[in-house]
Amino acid sequence: MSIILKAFPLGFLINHDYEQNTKKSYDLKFERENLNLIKVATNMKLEDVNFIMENLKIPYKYKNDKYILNNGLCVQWTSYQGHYCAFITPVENKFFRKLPPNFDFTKQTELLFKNFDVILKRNTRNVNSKEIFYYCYKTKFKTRYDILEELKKQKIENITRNTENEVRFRYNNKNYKFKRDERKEPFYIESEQKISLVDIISGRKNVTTRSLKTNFTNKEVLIKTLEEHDAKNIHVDELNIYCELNNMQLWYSKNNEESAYNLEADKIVNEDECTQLLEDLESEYGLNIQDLTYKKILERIKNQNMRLESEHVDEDNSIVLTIDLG
Amino acid sequence: MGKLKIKLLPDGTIEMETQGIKGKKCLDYAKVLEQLADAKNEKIVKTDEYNQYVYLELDDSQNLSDN
Repeated sequence: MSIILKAFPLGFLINHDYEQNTKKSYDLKFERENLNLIKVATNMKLEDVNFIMENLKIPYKYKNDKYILNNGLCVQWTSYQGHYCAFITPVENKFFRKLPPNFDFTKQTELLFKNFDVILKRNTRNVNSKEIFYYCYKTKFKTRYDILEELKKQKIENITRNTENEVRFRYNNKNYKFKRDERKEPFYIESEQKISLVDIISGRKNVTTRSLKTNFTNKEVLIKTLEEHDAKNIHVDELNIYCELNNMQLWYSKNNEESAYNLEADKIVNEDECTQLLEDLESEYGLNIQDLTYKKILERIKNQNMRLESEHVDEDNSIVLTIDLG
Repeated sequence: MGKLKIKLLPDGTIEMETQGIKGKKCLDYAKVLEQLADAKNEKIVKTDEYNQYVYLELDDSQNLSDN
Protein backbone atom coordinates (compact mmCIF):
# COMPACT_ATOMS: atom_id res chain seq x y z
CA MET A 1 0.00 0.00 0.00
CA SER A 2 1.42 3.35 -0.93
CA ILE A 3 1.74 6.48 1.09
CA ILE A 4 -0.91 9.05 0.35
CA LEU A 5 1.00 12.13 -0.64
CA LYS A 6 -1.54 13.84 -2.84
CA ALA A 7 -3.12 16.50 -0.71
CA PHE A 8 -2.41 19.88 -2.18
CA PRO A 9 -3.35 23.29 -0.93
CA LEU A 10 -5.80 24.88 -3.25
CA GLY A 11 -4.41 26.72 -6.21
CA PHE A 12 -5.41 30.14 -4.94
CA LEU A 13 -3.16 29.68 -1.91
CA ILE A 14 -0.16 29.49 -4.20
CA ASN A 15 -1.12 31.95 -6.89
CA HIS A 16 -4.23 34.08 -6.64
CA ASP A 17 -4.51 34.19 -10.43
CA TYR A 18 -4.40 30.45 -10.78
CA GLU A 19 -8.03 29.48 -10.41
CA GLN A 20 -9.12 32.52 -12.32
CA ASN A 21 -6.95 31.51 -15.27
CA THR A 22 -7.43 27.79 -15.28
CA LYS A 23 -10.86 27.30 -13.67
CA LYS A 24 -9.37 24.29 -11.99
CA SER A 25 -8.48 23.79 -8.36
CA TYR A 26 -5.33 21.87 -9.12
CA ASP A 27 -3.33 19.89 -11.63
CA LEU A 28 -0.10 17.94 -11.60
CA LYS A 29 1.83 20.41 -13.72
CA PHE A 30 0.99 23.13 -11.27
CA GLU A 31 2.24 20.98 -8.44
CA ARG A 32 5.54 20.27 -10.20
CA GLU A 33 6.10 23.94 -10.81
CA ASN A 34 5.43 24.99 -7.25
CA LEU A 35 6.15 22.18 -4.81
CA ASN A 36 9.77 22.59 -3.80
CA LEU A 37 10.16 20.92 -0.40
CA ILE A 38 8.68 18.00 1.53
CA LYS A 39 9.38 17.76 5.25
CA VAL A 40 8.97 14.39 6.93
CA ALA A 41 9.13 13.75 10.68
CA THR A 42 10.77 10.39 11.27
CA ASN A 43 11.37 8.18 14.28
CA MET A 44 15.03 7.75 13.27
CA LYS A 45 17.99 8.52 15.46
CA LEU A 46 21.50 9.39 14.30
CA GLU A 47 22.64 5.77 14.01
CA ASP A 48 19.56 4.95 11.88
CA VAL A 49 20.23 7.88 9.55
CA ASN A 50 23.87 6.91 9.17
CA PHE A 51 22.96 3.28 8.52
CA ILE A 52 20.40 4.23 5.89
CA MET A 53 22.69 6.64 4.11
CA GLU A 54 25.44 4.04 3.96
CA ASN A 55 23.03 1.58 2.40
CA LEU A 56 21.65 3.93 -0.22
CA LYS A 57 24.88 4.08 -2.23
CA ILE A 58 24.93 7.82 -2.19
CA PRO A 59 26.54 9.40 -5.22
CA TYR A 60 27.34 12.67 -3.54
CA LYS A 61 27.56 13.79 0.04
CA TYR A 62 27.22 17.55 -0.14
CA LYS A 63 27.60 18.30 3.55
CA ASN A 64 27.61 16.23 6.72
CA ASP A 65 23.85 16.36 6.93
CA LYS A 66 22.98 16.83 3.24
CA TYR A 67 22.95 14.11 0.60
CA ILE A 68 22.34 14.07 -3.13
CA LEU A 69 20.62 10.81 -4.11
CA ASN A 70 20.63 9.11 -7.48
CA ASN A 71 16.84 9.26 -7.78
CA GLY A 72 16.88 13.02 -8.26
CA LEU A 73 16.28 13.94 -4.62
CA CYS A 74 18.32 15.89 -2.13
CA VAL A 75 17.87 14.97 1.55
CA GLN A 76 18.93 17.14 4.44
CA TRP A 77 18.65 15.76 7.96
CA THR A 78 17.80 17.97 10.93
CA SER A 79 17.59 16.80 14.51
CA TYR A 80 14.26 17.60 16.10
CA GLN A 81 13.27 16.56 19.63
CA GLY A 82 15.53 13.52 19.69
CA HIS A 83 14.63 12.29 16.22
CA TYR A 84 15.52 13.31 12.71
CA CYS A 85 13.40 15.25 10.29
CA ALA A 86 14.07 14.86 6.55
CA PHE A 87 13.96 17.95 4.33
CA ILE A 88 13.58 16.62 0.81
CA THR A 89 13.92 18.73 -2.33
CA PRO A 90 14.33 17.97 -6.01
CA VAL A 91 18.06 17.91 -6.58
CA GLU A 92 19.73 21.10 -7.71
CA ASN A 93 20.88 20.89 -11.31
CA LYS A 94 24.35 22.21 -10.69
CA PHE A 95 25.09 19.11 -8.62
CA PHE A 96 23.35 16.57 -10.75
CA ARG A 97 21.95 15.72 -14.12
CA LYS A 98 18.96 17.63 -15.40
CA LEU A 99 15.75 16.15 -14.07
CA PRO A 100 13.41 14.61 -16.66
CA PRO A 101 10.27 16.63 -17.46
CA ASN A 102 8.03 13.93 -16.01
CA PHE A 103 10.00 13.74 -12.76
CA ASP A 104 7.47 13.04 -9.99
CA PHE A 105 8.77 14.58 -6.78
CA THR A 106 6.10 13.16 -4.50
CA LYS A 107 6.32 9.68 -6.01
CA GLN A 108 10.10 9.62 -5.63
CA THR A 109 9.74 10.73 -2.01
CA GLU A 110 7.27 7.95 -1.41
CA LEU A 111 9.66 5.40 -2.91
CA LEU A 112 12.53 6.81 -0.89
CA PHE A 113 10.68 6.20 2.35
CA LYS A 114 9.69 2.71 1.27
CA ASN A 115 13.39 2.15 0.76
CA PHE A 116 14.14 3.46 4.25
CA ASP A 117 11.55 1.06 5.67
CA VAL A 118 13.11 -1.88 3.86
CA ILE A 119 16.61 -1.00 5.06
CA LEU A 120 15.59 -0.57 8.70
CA LYS A 121 12.91 -3.30 8.50
CA ARG A 122 10.33 -1.07 10.14
CA ASN A 123 8.22 1.99 9.53
CA THR A 124 10.50 5.01 9.74
CA ARG A 125 7.96 7.83 9.93
CA ASN A 126 7.05 9.32 13.25
CA VAL A 127 3.45 8.15 13.52
CA ASN A 128 3.14 9.65 17.00
CA SER A 129 3.68 13.09 15.54
CA LYS A 130 0.78 14.93 13.98
CA GLU A 131 3.29 16.64 11.75
CA ILE A 132 4.33 13.67 9.69
CA PHE A 133 4.40 15.46 6.37
CA TYR A 134 4.58 19.09 5.39
CA TYR A 135 4.55 20.14 1.75
CA CYS A 136 6.13 23.48 0.96
CA TYR A 137 5.11 25.34 -2.16
CA LYS A 138 6.44 28.46 -3.77
CA THR A 139 3.82 31.18 -4.03
CA LYS A 140 3.45 34.42 -5.93
CA PHE A 141 2.56 36.39 -2.84
CA LYS A 142 5.07 39.13 -2.08
CA THR A 143 3.31 40.98 0.70
CA ARG A 144 1.37 40.00 3.76
CA TYR A 145 -1.37 42.35 2.63
CA ASP A 146 -1.90 40.32 -0.57
CA ILE A 147 -2.17 37.13 1.45
CA LEU A 148 -4.66 38.55 3.90
CA GLU A 149 -6.72 39.99 1.07
CA GLU A 150 -6.79 36.63 -0.67
CA LEU A 151 -7.78 34.81 2.52
CA LYS A 152 -10.51 37.36 3.08
CA LYS A 153 -11.73 36.91 -0.48
CA GLN A 154 -11.88 33.17 0.04
CA LYS A 155 -13.71 33.71 3.36
CA ILE A 156 -10.95 32.06 5.35
CA GLU A 157 -11.23 33.58 8.80
CA ASN A 158 -9.38 31.23 11.12
CA ILE A 159 -6.03 33.06 11.09
CA THR A 160 -4.00 31.88 14.06
CA ARG A 161 -0.83 33.94 13.57
CA ASN A 162 -0.22 37.11 11.66
CA THR A 163 3.26 38.65 11.67
CA GLU A 164 5.32 40.42 9.03
CA ASN A 165 6.94 37.25 7.69
CA GLU A 166 4.45 34.60 8.75
CA VAL A 167 0.70 34.03 8.42
CA ARG A 168 -0.79 30.88 9.83
CA PHE A 169 -4.36 29.72 9.36
CA ARG A 170 -6.63 26.70 9.41
CA TYR A 171 -8.73 25.72 6.44
CA ASN A 172 -10.79 22.57 5.96
CA ASN A 173 -9.35 21.16 9.20
CA LYS A 174 -5.78 21.52 7.99
CA ASN A 175 -3.03 23.85 9.14
CA TYR A 176 -1.31 26.13 6.64
CA LYS A 177 1.56 28.52 7.07
CA PHE A 178 2.73 31.29 4.77
CA LYS A 179 6.34 32.12 5.55
CA ARG A 180 9.33 33.93 4.12
CA ASP A 181 12.91 34.20 5.33
CA GLU A 182 13.74 37.59 3.90
CA ARG A 183 11.45 40.53 3.43
CA LYS A 184 12.19 40.85 -0.28
CA GLU A 185 11.46 37.21 -1.07
CA PRO A 186 8.03 35.88 -2.01
CA PHE A 187 6.26 33.85 0.62
CA TYR A 188 6.15 30.08 0.47
CA ILE A 189 3.34 28.06 1.95
CA GLU A 190 3.56 24.96 4.12
CA SER A 191 0.65 22.58 3.97
CA GLU A 192 0.13 20.04 6.72
CA GLN A 193 -0.51 16.55 5.41
CA LYS A 194 -2.58 14.09 7.34
CA ILE A 195 -2.09 10.60 6.09
CA SER A 196 -3.61 7.30 6.96
CA LEU A 197 -1.71 5.50 9.67
CA VAL A 198 -2.02 2.17 7.95
CA ASP A 199 -0.61 3.61 4.76
CA ILE A 200 2.73 4.02 6.43
CA ILE A 201 2.92 0.64 8.08
CA SER A 202 5.31 -0.99 5.73
CA GLY A 203 6.75 -4.40 5.04
CA ARG A 204 3.43 -6.20 5.17
CA LYS A 205 3.39 -9.64 3.66
CA ASN A 206 -0.22 -10.58 3.04
CA VAL A 207 -1.39 -14.02 3.80
CA THR A 208 -5.05 -13.31 3.21
CA THR A 209 -6.89 -10.03 3.26
CA ARG A 210 -10.55 -9.42 3.98
CA SER A 211 -12.51 -6.20 3.49
CA LEU A 212 -15.97 -5.64 4.87
CA LYS A 213 -18.40 -3.03 6.10
CA THR A 214 -19.06 -2.90 9.82
CA ASN A 215 -21.86 -1.53 11.96
CA PHE A 216 -19.44 0.43 14.07
CA THR A 217 -19.63 4.20 14.12
CA ASN A 218 -18.55 5.10 17.65
CA LYS A 219 -14.77 5.56 17.77
CA GLU A 220 -14.40 5.44 21.56
CA VAL A 221 -16.53 2.32 21.93
CA LEU A 222 -14.67 0.58 19.13
CA ILE A 223 -11.30 1.37 20.72
CA LYS A 224 -12.61 0.11 24.08
CA THR A 225 -13.81 -3.09 22.40
CA LEU A 226 -10.44 -3.64 20.73
CA GLU A 227 -8.61 -3.01 24.01
CA GLU A 228 -10.84 -5.53 25.76
CA HIS A 229 -9.73 -8.05 23.15
CA ASP A 230 -6.11 -7.23 23.98
CA ALA A 231 -5.35 -5.49 20.69
CA LYS A 232 -1.77 -4.24 20.36
CA ASN A 233 -0.20 -1.21 18.67
CA ILE A 234 -3.44 0.71 18.49
CA HIS A 235 -3.02 3.87 16.41
CA VAL A 236 -5.88 6.30 16.08
CA ASP A 237 -6.42 9.36 13.98
CA GLU A 238 -9.47 11.31 12.96
CA LEU A 239 -11.02 8.68 10.70
CA ASN A 240 -8.81 5.63 11.15
CA ILE A 241 -8.07 3.01 13.77
CA TYR A 242 -5.25 0.58 13.23
CA CYS A 243 -4.34 -2.30 15.53
CA GLU A 244 -2.86 -5.76 15.67
CA LEU A 245 -4.92 -8.57 17.09
CA ASN A 246 -4.16 -12.30 17.11
CA ASN A 247 -1.31 -11.65 14.66
CA MET A 248 -3.71 -9.99 12.24
CA GLN A 249 -3.62 -6.36 11.21
CA LEU A 250 -6.96 -4.61 11.44
CA TRP A 251 -7.57 -1.26 9.83
CA TYR A 252 -10.88 0.46 10.46
CA SER A 253 -11.52 3.52 8.32
CA LYS A 254 -14.49 5.74 7.65
CA ASN A 255 -15.25 8.52 5.20
CA ASN A 256 -16.66 11.01 7.69
CA GLU A 257 -17.56 11.34 11.36
CA GLU A 258 -21.09 10.03 10.89
CA SER A 259 -20.45 7.01 8.72
CA ALA A 260 -19.75 3.44 9.82
CA TYR A 261 -16.23 2.04 9.74
CA ASN A 262 -15.02 -0.20 6.95
CA LEU A 263 -12.64 -2.93 8.01
CA GLU A 264 -9.62 -4.20 6.16
CA ALA A 265 -8.16 -7.23 7.88
CA ASP A 266 -4.70 -8.30 6.79
CA LYS A 267 -2.29 -11.14 7.58
CA ILE A 268 -5.10 -13.60 8.10
CA VAL A 269 -3.67 -17.05 8.57
CA ASN A 270 -6.77 -18.89 9.67
CA GLU A 271 -10.05 -17.81 8.02
CA ASP A 272 -12.27 -19.51 10.64
CA GLU A 273 -10.38 -17.89 13.46
CA CYS A 274 -10.76 -14.53 11.75
CA THR A 275 -14.51 -15.00 11.30
CA GLN A 276 -14.89 -15.95 14.95
CA LEU A 277 -12.85 -12.97 16.08
CA LEU A 278 -14.88 -10.53 13.99
CA GLU A 279 -18.12 -12.00 15.35
CA ASP A 280 -16.79 -11.65 18.89
CA LEU A 281 -15.85 -8.04 18.24
CA GLU A 282 -19.32 -7.32 16.88
CA SER A 283 -21.01 -8.90 19.91
CA GLU A 284 -18.75 -7.08 22.32
CA TYR A 285 -19.22 -3.78 20.53
CA GLY A 286 -23.01 -4.22 20.76
CA LEU A 287 -22.79 -4.93 24.50
CA ASN A 288 -20.59 -1.89 25.03
CA ILE A 289 -23.09 0.28 23.16
CA GLN A 290 -25.89 -1.20 25.25
CA ASP A 291 -23.99 -0.37 28.43
CA LEU A 292 -23.16 3.15 27.25
CA THR A 293 -26.77 3.81 26.22
CA TYR A 294 -28.10 2.50 29.54
CA LYS A 295 -25.85 4.88 31.48
CA LYS A 296 -26.72 7.82 29.23
CA ILE A 297 -30.46 7.30 29.59
CA LEU A 298 -30.35 6.94 33.36
CA GLU A 299 -28.22 10.06 33.65
CA ARG A 300 -30.31 12.17 31.30
CA ILE A 301 -33.82 11.35 32.47
CA LYS A 302 -32.95 13.08 35.75
CA ASN A 303 -32.83 16.37 33.87
CA GLN A 304 -36.02 15.71 31.91
CA ASN A 305 -38.51 15.51 34.77
CA MET A 306 -38.83 11.76 34.17
CA ARG A 307 -38.56 8.88 36.61
CA LEU A 308 -37.29 5.34 36.21
CA GLU A 309 -40.25 3.24 37.28
CA SER A 310 -38.69 -0.18 36.78
CA GLU A 311 -35.96 -2.07 35.01
CA HIS A 312 -35.28 -5.70 34.33
CA VAL A 313 -33.13 -7.90 32.12
CA ASP A 314 -34.86 -10.19 29.62
CA GLU A 315 -33.74 -13.70 28.77
CA ASP A 316 -32.07 -12.44 25.62
CA ASN A 317 -29.99 -10.02 27.77
CA SER A 318 -32.01 -7.01 26.69
CA ILE A 319 -32.37 -4.34 29.36
CA VAL A 320 -35.95 -3.08 29.64
CA LEU A 321 -36.51 0.32 31.22
CA THR A 322 -39.95 1.67 32.02
CA ILE A 323 -39.89 5.41 32.41
CA ASP A 324 -42.69 7.41 33.97
CA LEU A 325 -43.12 10.67 32.10
CA GLY A 326 -44.45 12.41 35.20
CA MET B 1 -49.23 11.06 32.17
CA GLY B 2 -47.68 8.25 30.11
CA LYS B 3 -44.78 5.89 30.06
CA LEU B 4 -41.91 4.97 27.81
CA LYS B 5 -40.86 1.36 27.65
CA ILE B 6 -37.31 1.30 26.34
CA LYS B 7 -35.63 -1.94 25.41
CA LEU B 8 -31.83 -1.92 25.01
CA LEU B 9 -30.87 -4.95 22.98
CA PRO B 10 -27.46 -6.61 23.37
CA ASP B 11 -26.59 -5.84 19.74
CA GLY B 12 -26.73 -2.12 20.55
CA THR B 13 -30.12 -1.38 19.01
CA ILE B 14 -32.97 0.22 20.93
CA GLU B 15 -36.70 -0.31 20.77
CA MET B 16 -39.22 1.97 22.38
CA GLU B 17 -42.93 1.69 22.98
CA THR B 18 -45.13 4.45 24.34
CA GLN B 19 -47.87 3.65 26.82
CA GLY B 20 -50.79 5.91 27.64
CA ILE B 21 -49.97 8.49 25.02
CA LYS B 22 -52.54 8.86 22.30
CA GLY B 23 -52.32 10.15 18.81
CA LYS B 24 -49.45 11.82 17.05
CA LYS B 25 -48.05 13.17 20.27
CA CYS B 26 -46.27 9.93 20.90
CA LEU B 27 -44.14 10.61 17.84
CA ASP B 28 -42.58 13.47 19.80
CA TYR B 29 -41.11 10.88 22.14
CA ALA B 30 -39.11 9.39 19.32
CA LYS B 31 -37.15 12.64 19.36
CA VAL B 32 -36.90 12.51 23.15
CA LEU B 33 -35.34 9.08 22.93
CA GLU B 34 -32.97 10.26 20.23
CA GLN B 35 -31.73 12.90 22.65
CA LEU B 36 -31.61 10.60 25.65
CA ALA B 37 -29.58 7.95 23.88
CA ASP B 38 -27.75 9.88 21.16
CA ALA B 39 -29.63 7.62 18.82
CA LYS B 40 -31.01 7.97 15.35
CA ASN B 41 -34.57 6.98 14.51
CA GLU B 42 -34.55 4.19 11.95
CA LYS B 43 -38.10 2.93 11.86
CA ILE B 44 -41.49 3.85 13.30
CA VAL B 45 -44.24 1.26 13.37
CA LYS B 46 -47.76 2.40 14.15
CA THR B 47 -49.79 0.06 16.33
CA ASP B 48 -53.21 -1.27 15.47
CA GLU B 49 -55.05 1.26 17.56
CA TYR B 50 -55.49 3.51 14.56
CA ASN B 51 -53.36 6.41 15.31
CA GLN B 52 -53.97 6.31 19.01
CA TYR B 53 -50.91 4.39 20.04
CA VAL B 54 -47.62 4.37 18.29
CA TYR B 55 -44.95 1.78 18.54
CA LEU B 56 -41.48 3.08 17.93
CA GLU B 57 -38.50 1.08 17.05
CA LEU B 58 -35.28 2.97 17.13
CA ASP B 59 -31.79 2.23 16.26
CA ASP B 60 -28.98 3.71 18.30
CA SER B 61 -26.52 5.96 16.53
CA GLN B 62 -24.58 2.96 15.33
CA ASN B 63 -27.02 2.40 12.42
CA LEU B 64 -26.94 -1.31 12.95
CA SER B 65 -29.81 -1.82 10.58
CA ASP B 66 -27.70 -0.45 7.73
CA ASN B 67 -26.30 -3.88 7.21
